Amino acid sequence: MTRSIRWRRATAACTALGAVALMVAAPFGRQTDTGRQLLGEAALPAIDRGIAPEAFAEEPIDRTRRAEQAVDADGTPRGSYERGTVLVKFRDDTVTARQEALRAVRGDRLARPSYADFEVMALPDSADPADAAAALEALPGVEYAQPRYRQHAMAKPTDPFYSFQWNFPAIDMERAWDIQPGATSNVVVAVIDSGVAFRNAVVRYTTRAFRVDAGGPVYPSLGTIDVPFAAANDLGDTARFVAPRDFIWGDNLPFDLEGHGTHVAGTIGQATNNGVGVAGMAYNVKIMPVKVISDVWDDAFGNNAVGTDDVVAQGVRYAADNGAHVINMSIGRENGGASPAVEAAVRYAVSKGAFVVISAGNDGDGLNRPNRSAEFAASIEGCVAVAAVGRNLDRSFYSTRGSYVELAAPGGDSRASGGSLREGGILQQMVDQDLAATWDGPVALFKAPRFDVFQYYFVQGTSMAAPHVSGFAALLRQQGITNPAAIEAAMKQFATDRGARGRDDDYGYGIINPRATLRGLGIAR
Amino acid sequence: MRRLTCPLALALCLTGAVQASAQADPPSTFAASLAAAAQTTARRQPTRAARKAPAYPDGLEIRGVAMVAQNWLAAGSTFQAVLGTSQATEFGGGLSLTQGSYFIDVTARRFAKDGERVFVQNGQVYQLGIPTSVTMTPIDVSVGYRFRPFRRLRPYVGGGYTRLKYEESADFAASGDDVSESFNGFHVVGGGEWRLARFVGIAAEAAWTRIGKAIGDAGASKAFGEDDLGGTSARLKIVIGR
Repeated sequence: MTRSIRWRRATAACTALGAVALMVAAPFGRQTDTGRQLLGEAALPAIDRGIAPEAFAEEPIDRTRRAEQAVDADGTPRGSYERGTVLVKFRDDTVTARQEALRAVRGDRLARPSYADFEVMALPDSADPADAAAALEALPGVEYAQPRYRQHAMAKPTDPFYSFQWNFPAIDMERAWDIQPGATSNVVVAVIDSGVAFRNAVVRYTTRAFRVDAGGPVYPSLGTIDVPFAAANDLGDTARFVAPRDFIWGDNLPFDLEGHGTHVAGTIGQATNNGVGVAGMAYNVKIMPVKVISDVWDDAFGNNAVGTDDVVAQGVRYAADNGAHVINMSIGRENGGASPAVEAAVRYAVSKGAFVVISAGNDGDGLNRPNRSAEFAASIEGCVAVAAVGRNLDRSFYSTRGSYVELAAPGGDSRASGGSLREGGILQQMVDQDLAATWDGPVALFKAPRFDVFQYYFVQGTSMAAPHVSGFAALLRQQGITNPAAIEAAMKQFATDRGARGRDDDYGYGIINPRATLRGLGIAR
Repeated sequence: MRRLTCPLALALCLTGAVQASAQADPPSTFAASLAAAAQTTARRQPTRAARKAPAYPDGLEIRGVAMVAQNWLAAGSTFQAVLGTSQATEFGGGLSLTQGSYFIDVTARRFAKDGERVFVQNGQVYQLGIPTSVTMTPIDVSVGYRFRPFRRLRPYVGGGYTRLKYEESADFAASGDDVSESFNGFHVVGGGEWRLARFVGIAAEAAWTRIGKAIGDAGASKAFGEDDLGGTSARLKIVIGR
């Protein structure tokens, strides 16, 4: 209840602020070519409403603890200790105590580091240091003994909702971030999608009557309305966004009128360790928002453009030409035939050095029709099609199977989580659907949208799996693997095989393994 | 040899004559001088023949060896990728037991170098900036035969068993990621020892070592299809002892 009152007050305050800003900014408005008018760049602060209320129907599970209990394949606790040695501090600093200790565990020798009051005992390779330490501690002359536990950088994100993000521990991201903490702003990831909540603005639109579904109710025109936008506050400051482009509206204002692209961008690069919201894979990269998908509001605002193959191809080429190192395409279509225009654009992007990631499709529980914009991926070295897995790391019920599937990543699976999207979905921030999708209800309640209020939503789909791979690619690029074909080869080589042995149509070469891939190869291992 | 002997005998004869003339009481005759020279020559000839190539002593000798070796590693591409070099400079030493023409050497060497972990695709190496350390400690037990064609130069050949301890560690390792294993192999060796003094010699030798199937199951060695931790090495030794 308190939460609701606070929210209403914040909304009212922001509305008032918005009105003032509009009055000030309106005379300086800028008409775009396609009929919308950017009224002001004055920043209206984004409103962060936290996790969508329905997500709190039950008490959250402490996933952190589960992740910390993870073990290696051989059952050894992860990140545990060095073999062959153990630390010992003697209570009695005598030769007898030392000899007794050496005898007790068949130790080879003792050596005291110059800086220490304890000693390092060499053990046979076959001895387990934990057992040896326990045996030593039982001796009267020993004050303490312990294995030489490995320390590691504490890369676990501090974001308050991180504990809901099972998807990152599931692919061992905490240890991956130890190796490569979030890449840097030298890496640019393009999000070819419905746009991204990338900046603050107030835009004047002239609306028209529209239907959401054929045969559905007609939503009336709202006349000319001023719509507030804000950059998603958890994506970081607006300097993170480069070369934004909107191929639906034909300008450089790829506002996300739906939320999908913002959610995807969050998984790729959500600001992390900032004490806000959730984490992202490559949290320091630059994001290039490229809008190629239209939604209900684009239509309602009078724009007839839609995201066809040629528009998508245009977006991909634009990203490649404007410095994108990784291109995420959580988009596609199941209908119709092949999409050579998109394929040619992807080949062009790869030839320019970009690594392209495409979602495999969400028709696995239907007719299993391939994503026509992804089925060529297997033939391009430097482009991968990504299937989705749920929290149990099994293929998500909706994830399309096919010979073109090359990798799998967490995309969420509510069915595998007892029907709970909150349990099995991927959590990221996007525009508040109550305030943005105002058409999703009775016509009587239909009203002007606003895109400056955000919440965290659990969503599932191969659209959510692909950005894990895009963020991963950004980390690899930062780590030194710059060639798209090499990035693909590395991902496949280190993928955790799942399902049928070797490559299969459900998981491709397996589930991505960022930690192992980033660590690469030594001489013997 | 005879051709040399005659002028040498003559020279020695003259020398002997001079010596005789200097040492003796008044020389009596030239014939006496010649006879004296001939005696001198006869005394010296067996001595020179013995110095030429004396047999090795039958007794057991223990000698100490210090060495430096340059090893052209068989897994050259792998080591080049990770350590930036396909060669290993090794330092070591050991003991050599000799009896007659036969010897048994027990030597150990050590090579340590830092590099970084990589990813390899189609022979292209991508360095990942993750520090890694490699240490190799081969122990050779060699049995061989020493020839004795010359007094100071002692050629030899041999071969034997090699035990290699291989250690590789890198940052961000979890349990089981680092490597500390020992492998068996064999080697053949050939070289020559030059005696500098009664108890000091230097030796140069070439050796070929094979320690197969030690690597190659994973890591960069798998990418390059290399499984041998041996190589071909040139070694320089200082030998203390007879």
